[in-house]
Amino acid sequence: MMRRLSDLPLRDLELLSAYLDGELTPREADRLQARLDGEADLRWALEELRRTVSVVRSLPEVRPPRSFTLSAEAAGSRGRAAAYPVLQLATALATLAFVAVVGLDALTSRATGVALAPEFRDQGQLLTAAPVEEAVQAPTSEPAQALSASAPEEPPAASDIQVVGSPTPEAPVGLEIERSAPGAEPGTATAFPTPMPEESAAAERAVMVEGTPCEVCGGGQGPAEADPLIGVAPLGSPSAQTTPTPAPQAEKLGGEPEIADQANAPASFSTPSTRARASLPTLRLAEIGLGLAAALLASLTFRVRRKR
Amino acid sequence: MDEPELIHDAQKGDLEAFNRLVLAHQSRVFNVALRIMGDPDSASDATQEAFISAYRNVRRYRGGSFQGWLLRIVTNACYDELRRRKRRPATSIEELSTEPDGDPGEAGLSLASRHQGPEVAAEDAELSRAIEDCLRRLPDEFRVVAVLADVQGYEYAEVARMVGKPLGTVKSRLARARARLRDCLRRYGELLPSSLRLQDETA
Repeated sequence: MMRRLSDLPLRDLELLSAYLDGELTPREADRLQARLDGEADLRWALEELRRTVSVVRSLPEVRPPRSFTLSAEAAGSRGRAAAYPVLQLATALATLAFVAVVGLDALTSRATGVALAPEFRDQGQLLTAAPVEEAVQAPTSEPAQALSASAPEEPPAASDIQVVGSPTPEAPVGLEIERSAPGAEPGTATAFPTPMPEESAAAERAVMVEGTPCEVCGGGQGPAEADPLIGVAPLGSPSAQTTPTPAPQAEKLGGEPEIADQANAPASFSTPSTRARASLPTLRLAEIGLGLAAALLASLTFRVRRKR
Repeated sequence: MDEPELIHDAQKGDLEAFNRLVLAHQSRVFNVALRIMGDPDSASDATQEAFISAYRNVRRYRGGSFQGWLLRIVTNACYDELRRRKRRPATSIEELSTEPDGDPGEAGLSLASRHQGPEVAAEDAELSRAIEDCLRRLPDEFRVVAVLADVQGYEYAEVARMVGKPLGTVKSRLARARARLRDCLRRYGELLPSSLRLQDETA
């Protein structure tokens, strides 16, 4: 006597259940049929399974309580969902490019500073080392934050967006870094070289001269000409009068005035900075462009993520 | 416009075409969700989620039964929700299933009951509640297979595709689900039509 189907050996239960649905191989079915002929318990179990399936199958269809058609809004999220990874990648690339350009810019600025250093040292105007750390750290920490704002797996938080987005309208990030780094304008030139060996300073200077176009030096490029040009930076020399000339041009390009102001603060230092100013607009423009692009993409990515 | 054309248009982003597919399949999708989830609200949520997911992924559909494809999506949506419930013990399915007279709510009112006399309708509702109660008491993985194979009548191979398990697993789960259902339904013997009344003893 058997009261519970669950007490039946699992193998038999599986055979009977599959037999009911015609899911046994002919051989398995024949073998089971032979057993059914001789085993009453098995026959009873098969009949109970058959009735159970009939009962369960009698469960009627229920009318859905509402329609599940999609609204345009719900459907619109498909486009956004598809755009999300693309936007993530674009943001990451723009930020990387931005960081690279800022890095290159920082390198060039340092090289300029190195070239000027001996002059100021001779004049006994060497500043304390304090601004050096600021100057060195500022360019690295800021791009690092900008980069984190668009890490593909960790989409940007609102605060990170601000890091990238805050300077958007007027002051691109690249300029922000440049301006805030030294603190004291002459310090840019004097403080930088302090920890840097002369050889590497010279090497960087050469890199700078080769890597950036010199728009003001009248076609003459390369270390041979650059060195004298930077070297002739006598305090209070008449060459200061020539400085205003390129300045308006630079202003038209945008962003440049900040650098000009920074370098020109003491009028007597203007000649060497003229050299730096003239060679940088391309980089600055790239910084501005990439900074804006990265900020825009990051905010777009963030919006898409929220609406997904 | 036939189904392949609608699917083709939906894959190109035609929302109207996709919504026509929704209208054609929503009853079956909702009913599978209802029998797996056990309550109409959760079933509605799972159904809506499944159709949104289907629309987003319709380009990945590569032939075969479109309904089978949809049922696979809704089954997964139900599994996800059931897993979420298990992580929140206060509203777990176990708690619901230990309530023998739990009110199945709207789910107990069938289409058939709206077209029959009051007595028959009441009997149908009782029987439906009994079956729903016994389905709810099954472990999730047994219930899903029982719903697809027995309530909806899909073949083993189709069920295996929908739940993403081997045929042998489906056979085994279905057999054990049926045995448990029978042992549960036996207690509702008086509700069952005489031809289907389950027997306690061997003949």
